[in-house]
Amino acid sequence: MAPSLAEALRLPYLGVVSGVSVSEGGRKVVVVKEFSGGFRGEYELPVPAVLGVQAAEKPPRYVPVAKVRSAARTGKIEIAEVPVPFKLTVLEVGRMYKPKLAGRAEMLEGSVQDIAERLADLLVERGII
Amino acid sequence: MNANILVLVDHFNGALREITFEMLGVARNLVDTAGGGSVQALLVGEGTAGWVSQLGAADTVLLLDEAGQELLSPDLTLTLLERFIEQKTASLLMLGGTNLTFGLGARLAMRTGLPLVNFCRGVQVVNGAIVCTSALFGGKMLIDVCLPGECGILNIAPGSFSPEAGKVGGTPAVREIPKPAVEEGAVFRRLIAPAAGDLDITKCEVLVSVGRGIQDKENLPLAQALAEALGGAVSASRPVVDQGWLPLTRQVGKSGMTVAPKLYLALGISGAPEHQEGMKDSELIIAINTDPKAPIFDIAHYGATVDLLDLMEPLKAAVEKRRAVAK
Ligand SMILES: Cc1cc2nc3c(=O)[nH]c(=O)nc-3n(C[C@H](O)[C@H](O)[C@H](O)COP(=O)(O)OP(=O)(O)OC[C@H]3O[C@@H](n4cnc5c(N)ncnc54)[C@H](O)[C@@H]3O)c2cc1C
Repeated sequence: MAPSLAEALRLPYLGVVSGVSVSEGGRKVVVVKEFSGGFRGEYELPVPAVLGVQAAEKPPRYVPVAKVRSAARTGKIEIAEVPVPFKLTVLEVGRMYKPKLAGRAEMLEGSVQDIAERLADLLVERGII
Repeated sequence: MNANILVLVDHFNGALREITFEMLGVARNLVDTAGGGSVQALLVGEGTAGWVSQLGAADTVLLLDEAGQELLSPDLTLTLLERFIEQKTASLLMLGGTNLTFGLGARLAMRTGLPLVNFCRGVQVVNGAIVCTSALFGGKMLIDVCLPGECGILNIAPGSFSPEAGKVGGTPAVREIPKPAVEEGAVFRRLIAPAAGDLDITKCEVLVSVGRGIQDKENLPLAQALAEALGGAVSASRPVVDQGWLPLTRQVGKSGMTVAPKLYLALGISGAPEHQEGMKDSELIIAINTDPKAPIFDIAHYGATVDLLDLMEPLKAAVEKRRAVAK
């Protein structure tokens, strides 16, 4: 979503962002992007820009489905025609299906105590303890 | 049918990434089954020319090995890819679904009008057309889509294909490409390494990994005690690190560490694709999760649907009992 929006608005974009601070009196932002292995990259962007925010200090909580349903019941949806600002190529959808599981864990049953004992035996068998 | 494929070589911190070979392998296979076309690899970055001999699965390597250029500069890569599509150098692009190239595919699709397949896990030729399989809702559903006219952009989900198929040495033709003028949006300034001082979980043989199911920071000492009894360390999924309960050095997954210990004990971790990416090659995976439908059970060897808070103490005691007997 964020990269498409950036292109539609013709604004600079950076994604997987986990930190932002303002620089040059508000003309630019210094942005931290996550990579793998705990590495991060520092970038500078002019504003306005679109950032895809990955993690926040206070992560947003998802709205409960019940609240969404009740809002859908009471709310009104207005439909307005807007011109499509970009070319769209539609993909032909074949089928939608649940993935076949490659393998499924062997499930241990019984009380918590039984499971703890079984797991400990297993770890002995495997030479882990 | 012709499949003219361009693979963006994914590399980070001085090393080629496995996803590059996954993409090269699947691209080569596609061209061979299609009966025509070519595989080109785009290699961007200072000092990368030495890697050409590892990219033998490609027919041609398009190389931009200029001082100061980094794959970390998304706008440069975007400009290059857009140009290659305009010039009809390739009609099918493969990008690695990594944090590094995140967003490139969507931006390119908007610029060029090519269709984008995100989280692509399968590509095959069916009745003369290219059919891609994309994962939706964190992998809970799959969808098959047909690429019109063999054209499109594929964001390949890491771990979907065998990297071995793409690990072909050789001497592909090299075409050096000039650095294009780029209207730079995001300018790369520096790489920040993970904080030093903490232990390196990639070297641990046993990891007790906690997820959101641990519920409270107060419960972490129980996991710590269990890890000690097992002779290992505590690692975590992203939400635990985001809350600040453990440092980033303990995070397993796409934005964290890639681990393959002898034992990975996943406690209260659902097993999202981004988490699996960092631990799926562990030798023995045991998952504890109250939800029998949690995707972690699809890759775990053993599992139990009990409350992790109830299990940690008895498991620690059972392990200590075995250790005492062994002495
Ligand atoms: C670009 C990107 C990068 C990402 N990088 C990473 C990454 O590096 N690492 C990572 O982990 N994630 C990463 N994520 C996030 C990932 O998509 C998931 O959101 C995350 O892995 C979920 O963590 P979790 O399994 O702990 O939490 P949840 O998905 O909330 O799962 C918690 C699980 O605990 C179980 N549970 C709850 N209570 C108990 C109990 N008492 N006993 C037993 N089980 C219980 C629940 O049934 C549930 O399955 C990334 C996402 C994106 C988009």
